[in-house]
Amino acid sequence: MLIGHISDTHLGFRQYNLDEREEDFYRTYEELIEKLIEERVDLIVHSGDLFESPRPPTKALLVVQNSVLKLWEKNIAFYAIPGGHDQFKRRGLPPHALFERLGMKVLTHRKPYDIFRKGDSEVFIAGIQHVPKHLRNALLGFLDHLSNKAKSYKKKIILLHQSIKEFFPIDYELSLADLPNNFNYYAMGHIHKRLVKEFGEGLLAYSGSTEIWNRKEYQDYIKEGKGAYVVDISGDEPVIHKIDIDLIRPHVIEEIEAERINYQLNKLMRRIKDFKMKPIIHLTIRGSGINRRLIRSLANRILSPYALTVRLEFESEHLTEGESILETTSRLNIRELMYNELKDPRIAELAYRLFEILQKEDLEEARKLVKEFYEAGFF
Amino acid sequence: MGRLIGYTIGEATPTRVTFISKEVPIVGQYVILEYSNKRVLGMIQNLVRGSVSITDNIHDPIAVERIRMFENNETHYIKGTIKILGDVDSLKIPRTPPPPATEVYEADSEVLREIFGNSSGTGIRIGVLISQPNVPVYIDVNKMVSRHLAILAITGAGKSNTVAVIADRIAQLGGAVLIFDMHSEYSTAKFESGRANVIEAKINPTNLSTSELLRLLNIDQSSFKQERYFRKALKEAKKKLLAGLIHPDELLKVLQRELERYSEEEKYKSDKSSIMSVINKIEGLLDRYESIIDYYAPDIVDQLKLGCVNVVDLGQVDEEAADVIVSHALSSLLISRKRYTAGGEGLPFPIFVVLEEAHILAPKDRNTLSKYWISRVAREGRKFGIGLCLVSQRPKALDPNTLSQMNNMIVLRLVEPSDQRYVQEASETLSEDLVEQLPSLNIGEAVVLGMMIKVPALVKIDKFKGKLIGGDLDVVNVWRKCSSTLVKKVVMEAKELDDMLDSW
Repeated sequence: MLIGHISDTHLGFRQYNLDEREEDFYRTYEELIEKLIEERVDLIVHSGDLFESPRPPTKALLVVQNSVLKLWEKNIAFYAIPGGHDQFKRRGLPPHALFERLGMKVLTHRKPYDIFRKGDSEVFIAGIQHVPKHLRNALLGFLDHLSNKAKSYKKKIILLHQSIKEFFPIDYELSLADLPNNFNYYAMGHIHKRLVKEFGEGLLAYSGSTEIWNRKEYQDYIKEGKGAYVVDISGDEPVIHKIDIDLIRPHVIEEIEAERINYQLNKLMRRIKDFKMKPIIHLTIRGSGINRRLIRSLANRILSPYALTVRLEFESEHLTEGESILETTSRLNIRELMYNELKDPRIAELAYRLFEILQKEDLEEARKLVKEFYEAGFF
Repeated sequence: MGRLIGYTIGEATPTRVTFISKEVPIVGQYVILEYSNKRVLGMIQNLVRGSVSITDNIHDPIAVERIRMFENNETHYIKGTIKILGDVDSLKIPRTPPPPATEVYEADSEVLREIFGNSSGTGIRIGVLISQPNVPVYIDVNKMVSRHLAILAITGAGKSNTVAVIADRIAQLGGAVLIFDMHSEYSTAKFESGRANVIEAKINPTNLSTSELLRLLNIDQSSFKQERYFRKALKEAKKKLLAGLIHPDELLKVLQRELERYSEEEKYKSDKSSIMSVINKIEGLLDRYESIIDYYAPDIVDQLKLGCVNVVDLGQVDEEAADVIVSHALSSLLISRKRYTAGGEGLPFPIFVVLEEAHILAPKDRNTLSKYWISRVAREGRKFGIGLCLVSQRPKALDPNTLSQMNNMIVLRLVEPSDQRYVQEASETLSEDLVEQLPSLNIGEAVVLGMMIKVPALVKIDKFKGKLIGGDLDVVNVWRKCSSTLVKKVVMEAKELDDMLDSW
């Protein structure tokens, strides 16, 4: 029995308000579905955040519709749970509802499990939508119930879209100790890094996001790649392997000294000139007496022909190395303060990101962020 | 009233009286005396048996043989002292001593059942009276948890059995017990309810406090330079961890790299050897604890279950690691309970924590991390619902301050006089008379005293796998209420969850 596990595809996300970025997310999703079909999986599970928002653009819906129909033709089952991004905070239908008649099985607290049968084998598939932290006890109740239900089946997997304290100590809903321990595969979503750990009667895995949703994920992408997992649960121990996306739009993250800006920009330009796909450039400019407008136009002139977008950050020189450490601490504290003060982690995250952006006086970006946030239906 | 067994003789005090008897009573037996219009309960402390004709100053065995021919029951006597425990109803000691020739009756089972029974409704059975096996003895769980307990005995006298009986019965009442199992005894034991929750003994470096890490690394206070560099590097590594720049399992490696960086820096040149020795210690730690280091191990507090004997199996770890695991668990328990009682997130139920080999964790002559937390929990635990049970076969190696906080005791066989004296000094309630009983106790027999029992008793502890018992109790009620509020919470939250999602 082969299971394809994907998660956090965030379809409809329009990073930096660019058409290309929206397309990137569709492309990697479609590529993964193709690859999983080639792998001859029996079913695909999606662990939440299929869409970026509970009101995705029509194109995103269409992309999913196509994939659902394709999987139906190939006789591959498709299970999904709503994540934190693609369900409403209060009352509402997740977009997943559109695809149930086309064959997608949506697991929520109302129908938290299904038995998948193929040939002689059967798999107990449990799953529940993302449950926010303040409803943790309800989640634990459902997990307990599912653990009991699972007992009479030989093979069982569970889909969850939650953060776990032991992997992500900053913000989490569950501890590993809270998870039922009698499943063979824990198909996890929510954390964008890839992670596999032995747990319960098999493996627990976060398949991670399928694109660079936040530039902080880039490091992990370089180390672990991005994509899906294929898990074989036929044997006593599940066997897992990675399916990587061939081409992810590169991010180039560089620090540049204002004094040598011309030389360094040109050097960078020569480096990216032959990239298969125009990269996203994040530059941190250091130096004293920086003329931001000049540097902005210079960077755009030199890099734009070969880059999808150039993001600039400025850091003034008078910070010595010692102080820059201090600065990280204070940044951390601000974030923490916001989390403590605002309670709702999403609003806190918005506040923190706005704080960061407005520090750089980037009004345009701030406006975009607020719009994105509003459109995601968080209010 | 039971059988008449003798009369008081000689001079008596309000608490002590001598009696003679024709019967052969046994030490530890309860008797009833009637005087000052009260029925007064006493306990036979010691017994002498003799004959008026065969005295100490006979030096010829043939003489004894001759006298024996004339001996009969009438020349024999039994003499003993009774410790007066108080009147049957209130257990208050009358202010007058009993008059001479007061009749001494065997205490009947009815009276004793009343005294040792579960009248408060907050008890668990631990055994029966040695002298009257038809009288079950209950101890008050509320007072045991809030006033702590010490279980002391030589090896093989039945400590583990006693712990198992108590733990199992608390669990059966719906309470929570946490045993730090030094010898992997309980993790493999089958509890009657089968509800043992075995918790793996893991060390999660990301959760440990700096002093806990220092202890694991064997960096003591005299190596202040090593400590300095370790703290500096740790701060850097933790900063990276919190910023999400590294995975938790890279913590120690990043720490090591940080130190390596220092060792190459010019300004730290004079301290290079200190830095190198910290690096060595980290590598040593990684080797030594390879099997128990788990960067994703959940905190013990998060794994506790109500209605369960929770067992942390420390059989595989050394003393330092046991010390770190225990101290970390106690500190997080205390913090978690404090937070919960203050209305925050935390462990929602009280817990009874059993520490085996307490003389290793809280020794008299040196400092350990656990010692500090044990004494804090001993002092503050009462308010926050954490009870301690210290178990030891070497009471005199145990920290006296900690031991004196244990207001309840179950002392099984203790042979060494210095141990006996030590225990007596630490406990206000253990009288000389009872101490004298200690060497003569058989396996599984114990002196039980403290606030959890109305009068001190010599008890034959039940064999583990004893009968099921139950009752409506206070600590127990909190435990129960806890599970019912949890159920309510689940229902309420489930409703809210249901509201988030329209059906389709």
